[in-house]
Amino acid sequence: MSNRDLSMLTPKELARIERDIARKHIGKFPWLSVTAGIGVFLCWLALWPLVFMDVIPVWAGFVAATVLAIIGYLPSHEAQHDIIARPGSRLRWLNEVVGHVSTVPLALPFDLARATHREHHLHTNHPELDPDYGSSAAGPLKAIWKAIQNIQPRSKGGHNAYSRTLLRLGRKDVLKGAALYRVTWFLTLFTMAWTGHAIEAAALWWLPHHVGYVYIQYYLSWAPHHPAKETARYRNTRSFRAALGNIGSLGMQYHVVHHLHPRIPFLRTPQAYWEMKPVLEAQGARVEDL
Amino acid sequence: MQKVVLRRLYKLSPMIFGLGFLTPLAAQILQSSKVTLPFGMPPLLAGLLIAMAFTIPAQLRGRWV
Repeated sequence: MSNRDLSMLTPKELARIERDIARKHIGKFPWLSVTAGIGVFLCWLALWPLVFMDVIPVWAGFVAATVLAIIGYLPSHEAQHDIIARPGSRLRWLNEVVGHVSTVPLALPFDLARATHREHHLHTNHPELDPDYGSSAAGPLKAIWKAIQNIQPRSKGGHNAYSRTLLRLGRKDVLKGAALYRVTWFLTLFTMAWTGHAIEAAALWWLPHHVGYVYIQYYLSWAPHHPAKETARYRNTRSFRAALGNIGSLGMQYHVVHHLHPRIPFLRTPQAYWEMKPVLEAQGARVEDL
Repeated sequence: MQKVVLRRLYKLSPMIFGLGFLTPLAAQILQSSKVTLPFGMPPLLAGLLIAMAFTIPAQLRGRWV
């Protein structure tokens, strides 16, 4: 690819090359994501008896639960894009199981995540239509503060933006499901707290939920779209060099490829990015930082 | 009717959370840290006072921080 002069090609021809590269990566079964999704859930479940029986201290349980809550979003994200199995296929049930269980540590309803995430892809950086637009901010520290503000009860972003999106889409079924999920989560926390297990519930579920939401908003919503001013296909997302590296940024350094080809499995995105980069540059994509 | 009740409950969510979770959480943190409470105050009452110090402003402002 690097030996080829792309400057003479039309955008249509460039798009064809880009699609050919994408096609090489699409359709591979994401075993690691499936294993990770179910593994995250089982590990998080195992933390409860480990902490209750004092096998590990509460603070260690909190750290582990927070890491699991954050990592768990990624397999769910694969399921949101039907990467594990498409509707009507033989393994569709696995797609749904992974989607639902991997975000339990984060206390995020899968159907809500799927519906709103698709809107984010359709309307990236649109102030009214992108449900994640509320995470936009002028710089990293402001982005963290904005993410904290978005999880407040009367914020404009976060869950309230998701509710508005679902109402606009007429998806009251998803909204009701998400409300029921959240009420059940709160009732579980209350029950644990009033039966003498408030510290464990806070360390293993309540705090990881909040830390996880802020981390995910920062790296999945803010960083790859910053400054979130453009809506065009090749301009609404960027590649970037994360201070915490590709693992610390949850693989979001190559997010531009995900927005252009959402069905490429997460773990194949870096390879696809490097293969596509000259084409993306020729298309005017924001790939100058990596 | 159902909608009105749900909306009111939603608006009261900081207070519900303060009573349902933060109060026992603060009480159990006090108990486990073996702090001597003033006036022989029971941990649950101290927990309620601590929780309300956060909850009442959150209820009025619509945000915890």
